[in-house]
Amino acid sequence: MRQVVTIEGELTIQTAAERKAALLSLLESADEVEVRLSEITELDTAGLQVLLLLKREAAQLGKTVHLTSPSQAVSDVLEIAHLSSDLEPAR
Amino acid sequence: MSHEEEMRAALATFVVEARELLVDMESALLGMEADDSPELVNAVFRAAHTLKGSSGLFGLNHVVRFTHVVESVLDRLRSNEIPVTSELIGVLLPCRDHLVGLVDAIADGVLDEMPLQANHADGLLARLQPFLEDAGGGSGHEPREGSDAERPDQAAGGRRNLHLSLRFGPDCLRNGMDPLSFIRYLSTLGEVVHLTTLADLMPDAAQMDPESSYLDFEVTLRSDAPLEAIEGVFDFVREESAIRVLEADRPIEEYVALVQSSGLLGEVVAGILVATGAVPGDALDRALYGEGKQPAAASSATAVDLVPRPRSEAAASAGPSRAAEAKAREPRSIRIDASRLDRLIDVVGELVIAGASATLQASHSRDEATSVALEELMRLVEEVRDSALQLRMVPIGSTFSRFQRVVRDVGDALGKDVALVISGGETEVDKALVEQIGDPLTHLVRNSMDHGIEPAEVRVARGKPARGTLRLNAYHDSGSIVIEVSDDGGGIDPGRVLAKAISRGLVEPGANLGEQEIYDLIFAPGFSTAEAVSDLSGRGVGMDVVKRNVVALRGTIDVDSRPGEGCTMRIRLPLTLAIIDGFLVGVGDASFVVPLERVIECVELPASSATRDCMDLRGEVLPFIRLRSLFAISGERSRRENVVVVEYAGTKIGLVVDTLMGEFQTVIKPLGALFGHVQGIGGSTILGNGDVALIIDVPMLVRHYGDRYRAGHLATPE
Repeated sequence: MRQVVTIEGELTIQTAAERKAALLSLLESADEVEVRLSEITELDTAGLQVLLLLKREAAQLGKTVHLTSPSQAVSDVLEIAHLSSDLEPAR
Repeated sequence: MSHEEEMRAALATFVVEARELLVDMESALLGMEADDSPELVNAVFRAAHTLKGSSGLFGLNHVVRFTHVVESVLDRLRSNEIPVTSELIGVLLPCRDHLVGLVDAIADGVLDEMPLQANHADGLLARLQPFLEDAGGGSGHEPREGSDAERPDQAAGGRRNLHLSLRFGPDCLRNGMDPLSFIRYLSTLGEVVHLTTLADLMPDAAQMDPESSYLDFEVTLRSDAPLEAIEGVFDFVREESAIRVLEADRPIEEYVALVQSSGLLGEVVAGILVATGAVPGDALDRALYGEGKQPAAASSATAVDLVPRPRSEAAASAGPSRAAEAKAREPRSIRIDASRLDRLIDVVGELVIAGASATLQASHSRDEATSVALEELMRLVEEVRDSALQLRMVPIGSTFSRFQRVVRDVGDALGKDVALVISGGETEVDKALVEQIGDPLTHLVRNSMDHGIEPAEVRVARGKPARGTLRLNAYHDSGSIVIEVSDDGGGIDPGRVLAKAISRGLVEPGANLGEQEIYDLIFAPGFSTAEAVSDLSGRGVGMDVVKRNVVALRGTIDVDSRPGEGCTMRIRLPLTLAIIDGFLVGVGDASFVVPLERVIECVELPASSATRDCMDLRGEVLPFIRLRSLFAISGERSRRENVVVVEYAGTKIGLVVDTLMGEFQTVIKPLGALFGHVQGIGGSTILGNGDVALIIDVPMLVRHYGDRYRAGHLATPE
């Protein structure tokens, strides 16, 4: 089962707790989750952690999470953190 | 034009030219492996040299710096100091890609080097380093030291590398301090050469508190700022965090202390210190583990270890000859902004309509002389129309040759040796289509290489050459362009496809499907027959997207598979999107245009078929559609009705209309979004008398209704 979700608005310490719960719950029902980052207006360390956590949890469960179409706000953070759009270390 | 505007315009030209140079560079690089003629080496060298020169004019120093090293390697290649090897090509291709990235950034207005780009460039330059040294001594060297010595900016005094180890306290975020903003600030003090984000200490989901800070960072900063200034950045979080800043060339003990104080992260940190060149790997190992112990940290220093590839003899036999051919021709061309071209086509379209209107007026007024003059005028207008459309046509070959690279990269990733054979590259197609067909083609090529072409052992066992062949072919066929992607792999096993479709709930068990219908299932959303989900395809998200994209271009796709021998995916697209020759018909008060290339013949509707949905066309059963009922046109049925026989992709149907009004040139005006859902209509046009006529979308009608009439198993095709 594949699911596609779009995160809208800010993914920051303000929203991290509820996003964490919502995103992780997707892994219960779907084998493959595509998370669209195109509508994220703001991303901070807390938000980045949630995305990293989601990727790691998925890997541990043998499931797949694709993070796609990062918005400018997301790309900026990824560039600072030297991470690729899939949160792997950028070369 | 102000100076600033001039610069911007000049920079835009630079970007266009740089991209062309890089395309040339890629095709020459890909050709070099197969063909060691000096011509190709020279072509790559020239491209690099020209790029370096023009970057210098714009003060794009990071491009100059990087290209300079690439050029130096190419120069050695040119003077035969080093040979062409797969390893070298394997390094030069990513270098070329890096330049594409730099040019893209410049196009977006980023004229200075970003930290990430610098980081990437360093990695690539390190890989080039062995090719700059004497052939014998290249391999054993520490790559970074060498490449740094090569960097021209190294000479600038005062700048040195610092290693920063940042462990932010768990409460940072809650206190309103975002670790990322400190790193963002760091880049104002210098260049962040390396940065590794570590999430290793983040606990499992259940224990992870989304408001705590878990991320750690290891940073290499190149800066001339004093140590105090750099440490000062972290004053606000110093108490709760562990921040360490080490200047380059500190005694090894300080690094050891850093590693040892890093707890669980110790080994990772040691690896980073070595990889970034902060300390030599062997020295750190000795200090950490004592003499003669296994080096734990050294591995990451040489992460880029190229596996030698067997040299592919005929690699892309089409590549080099094409490149050479293109060189020889050196077409004289001028660059035109695409939007100006579109404007021209638009105006020519209006001209055609106005001409038709004038002709109509003249024939009403029975003014013989004017009619004759207008006839000549219309002949010229048609010629202008044809030439204008011709401007939009480009050979599909340039799109095809991009796939040399795709095939090479995908082949490497899959460990399959695949040759790409291109034919029909000279076939011309509307530019707008070329731009949009790239992605679907890429999907198909990857899919063929992943699922179609078997691994070498299997191929040999089946008596095929170990090396797979993938073909891209294009040709014109009755007003359409056909693009084929074929492989000589195992073909599609209908049994497996059907079984999978049943297990996915796409088909009822026991359904009786024809072979073609089974193949069509692979385009169903969520379908995938891959046993193992691979990196490239097999997630079942590719083929349905391919089909959607093709249909959006008013095209179709079908599959031709010969089990054991291979498979061909055939995409059929309309030649152009703007103007068509039409056949004008009337139903009641309404007018419709049928694209002339689809019309086979016109016959009178036999009285015997007046109440049926099909007729006898010289012994053949011809299903027909009454446009009157399809589009709910009011009024009595005409006493004499006519049938326009149309064909698409081998299927014929009839369209029942009242009157036949003859050939008519027409400009397709797209329907507004409001009518996007209307099926069977492909656009509208304006007639000479000002009326609107709707253009019939024949492929859609044939697909939708033709299938229904065949003693079909599937009731609704879409």
